[in-house]
Amino acid sequence: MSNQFDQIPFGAAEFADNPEPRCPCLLLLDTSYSMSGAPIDALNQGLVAFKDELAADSLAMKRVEVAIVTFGPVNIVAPFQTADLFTPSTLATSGDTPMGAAIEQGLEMLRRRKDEYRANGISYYRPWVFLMTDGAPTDSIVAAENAVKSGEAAKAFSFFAVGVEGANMDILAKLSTRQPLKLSGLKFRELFSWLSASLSGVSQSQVGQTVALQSPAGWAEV
Amino acid sequence: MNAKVREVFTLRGEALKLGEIVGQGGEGAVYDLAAHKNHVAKIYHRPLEQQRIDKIRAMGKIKTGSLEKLTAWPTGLVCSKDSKPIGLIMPKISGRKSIHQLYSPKSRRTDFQRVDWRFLTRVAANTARAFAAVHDNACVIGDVNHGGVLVAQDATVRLIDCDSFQVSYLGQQYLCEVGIETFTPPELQSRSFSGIVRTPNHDNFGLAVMVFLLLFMGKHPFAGRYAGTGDMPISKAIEEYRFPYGANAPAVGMARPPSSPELAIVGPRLAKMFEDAFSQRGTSAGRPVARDWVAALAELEANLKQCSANSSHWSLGSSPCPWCKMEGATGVPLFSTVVPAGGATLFDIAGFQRQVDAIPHPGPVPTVPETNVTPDPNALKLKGHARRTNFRAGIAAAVVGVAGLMMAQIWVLGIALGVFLGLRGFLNRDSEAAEYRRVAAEAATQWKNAQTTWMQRAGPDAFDRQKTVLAGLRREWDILPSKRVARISELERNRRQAQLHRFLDNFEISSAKIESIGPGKKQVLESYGIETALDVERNKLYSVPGFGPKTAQKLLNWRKSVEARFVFDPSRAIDPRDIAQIDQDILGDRKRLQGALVLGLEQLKQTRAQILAAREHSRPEMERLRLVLDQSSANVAAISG
Repeated sequence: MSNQFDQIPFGAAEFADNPEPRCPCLLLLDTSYSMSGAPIDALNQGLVAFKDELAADSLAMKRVEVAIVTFGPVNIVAPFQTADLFTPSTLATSGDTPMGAAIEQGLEMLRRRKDEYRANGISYYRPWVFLMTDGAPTDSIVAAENAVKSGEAAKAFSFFAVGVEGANMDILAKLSTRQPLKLSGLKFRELFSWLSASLSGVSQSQVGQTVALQSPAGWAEV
Repeated sequence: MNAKVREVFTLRGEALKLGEIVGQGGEGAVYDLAAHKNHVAKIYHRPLEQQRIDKIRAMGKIKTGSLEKLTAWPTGLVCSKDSKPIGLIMPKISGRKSIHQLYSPKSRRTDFQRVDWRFLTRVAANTARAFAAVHDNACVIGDVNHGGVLVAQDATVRLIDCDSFQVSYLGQQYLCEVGIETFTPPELQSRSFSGIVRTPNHDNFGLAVMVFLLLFMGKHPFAGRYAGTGDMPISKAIEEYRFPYGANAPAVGMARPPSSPELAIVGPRLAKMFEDAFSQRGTSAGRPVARDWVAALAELEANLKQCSANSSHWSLGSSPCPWCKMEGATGVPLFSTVVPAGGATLFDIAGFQRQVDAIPHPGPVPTVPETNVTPDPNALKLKGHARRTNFRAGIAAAVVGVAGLMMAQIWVLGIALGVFLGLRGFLNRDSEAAEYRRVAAEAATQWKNAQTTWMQRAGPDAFDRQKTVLAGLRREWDILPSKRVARISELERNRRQAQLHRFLDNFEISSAKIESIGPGKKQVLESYGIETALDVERNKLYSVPGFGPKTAQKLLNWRKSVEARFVFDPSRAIDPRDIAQIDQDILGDRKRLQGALVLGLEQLKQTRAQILAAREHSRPEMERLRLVLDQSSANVAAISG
């Protein structure tokens, strides 16, 4: 009986206005207390640079969609929206590190967004999920781990884990099917610059095709 | 590696200085050429392969007048100092934007103003003309894509990235081994482009996609809703001929995106061409060629009529207007307001106001009345069903069961089983009741959201706001005469100042003798706009390079000495040039306001048309949501009753 609620074209304005294929990018960002000071400042500056660099590419502006979920506690800072509408807000630190809940929440948002694409006849690229943390989860990550693994297996998204100094890299390795990357120093700016360039590359490419990514050597310890 | 290249050489050995970078791509960077305003140089990041070198040479040989006019055809190679080819020279194309900035409504609003469907039709035809010219010269574009066609504000197009075209010269074929999936025909999907000889029929698929994108508000012809399970990416839909706008769409499980126009809006001739281009027939028997599109699109443009409700809407005149319908259903303005050209030079403000007042107010937002519904029969069965009863029944069953075990009496266990089954029935009914409540809550939220949107789109607020804007402009218009009077009386008061300025302005630095200011310094001053004694101000001087406090002081002293010779003449009237300046300014204001008023009136008409369209075309969806809300709350009322 819930089928009658599935497709609601009312409010499809954003897709009528901009029918370009979408390239969703979900950022799961650790904003627990341990990120206070220099790390959170670097992260905030990185997000501003991210927006600026996406803005330089008129096609990426229409295709790349950014969503941000922060954790400590879990909070949806920005729902999925195209890069031209995305304005980075200054993140503050608080609380512990409920990483598991944040991943689950983020992936659920992603699933819903994809349903909206389908209902509105919008084609999309394989979504990117970026997890960034400087610690270890303070909640259970069993469900999150399963969701990541099954999503990767189904090619529902690509999941990348990035550890900031102090992160438990073993747990990140367990979570993600890819090798987690370690941020060298506080090179958030370089990371986001790389991310923006990669997303621009993906958004110019063919839906469904894999794009050769640039090396993350500029920001990650290799 | 070529980042440091500053100078390149033509094959004849002529040195060319590279200027600013005007574009960057995956393959190379494009530079301005200092000495050749109409040409640019593309320098590749990687050394050129022999194949590519030969191709660029061949392209230089086969260039024709039409190719030069419609494309950025390479004119020759450029080499590094050691005579290795590192790039090419091609015509510079400026003042144009990528075609994707035109076809999606969102970027169109900022990048291409005053564009309606006639313009889009013209661009489509011009694109087809450019394709025809390439095909006539035995070349194939190959990599048709959203960035390869540049459009000017007059709807003319030019093709760029020509070095990737497939070219034939003296029996030798130089291939195009790249492509973008969404413009790639079904027969080339899911395979590598390397070694593939492209044909005009491949291009004609890409051309059909491009024309479709232009005519259908940036919607890709193969992006639709798929009835099956899983995803239907565009490339797969192309490969499997699942064209959601086609007559065959239901059979292949596809539906158009919500509130997208029907294929019929382009008329039967073009509709058939799209069907042909996107079907199996197109692959086997050939798709419509560029010339066919030129003719059919010209015919479409000639038959377009203006919508009676909204002057920016042009269509074949079917009813309802497809753009009123789409704007009404989505709330997205698809075309910008177009101000009628011409108009008398003498603006009749009273007549204008009458036109504004003649536009009827759209009235308050219509309500979508409650519907008469009866609860589901199933919901009625759950009447009086409450959680607590279930809970008690559950406890009762458990108690009986435990008691049975304790008494070790088989027959009691039988009763327990009976109670258990009853309990399970209760539990089922409990979850059914909960489902009804969930559905009702969801319907309520959806109704609330929809109502907010409905108020925005179908309510009169936008109309009222526009009227306020017009009223503000009208007030500004009305005070123009008093503004002139005020400025002239200000001149009167500042007569001394004005005379002084005029006096100072008569002393040109170039002909003055000023200590330690030679001809060189004078030239520098002139280039910074400091030409007369009037311009000599401390702040201005400090921004001129080479003018420290000492030199500046010399100039200021000179100004002072000039100023000392000034005598105010109270009998002299205001300089007529100053009055002329005021009149000029007021005339400028008048023109600006006149333009804003005319545009504002058109926007008011358009806003009203959009509100009425929203009322008509969003109403069915509102009625549906209202029905769902009423039905689900009736169900819940029945359960709780």
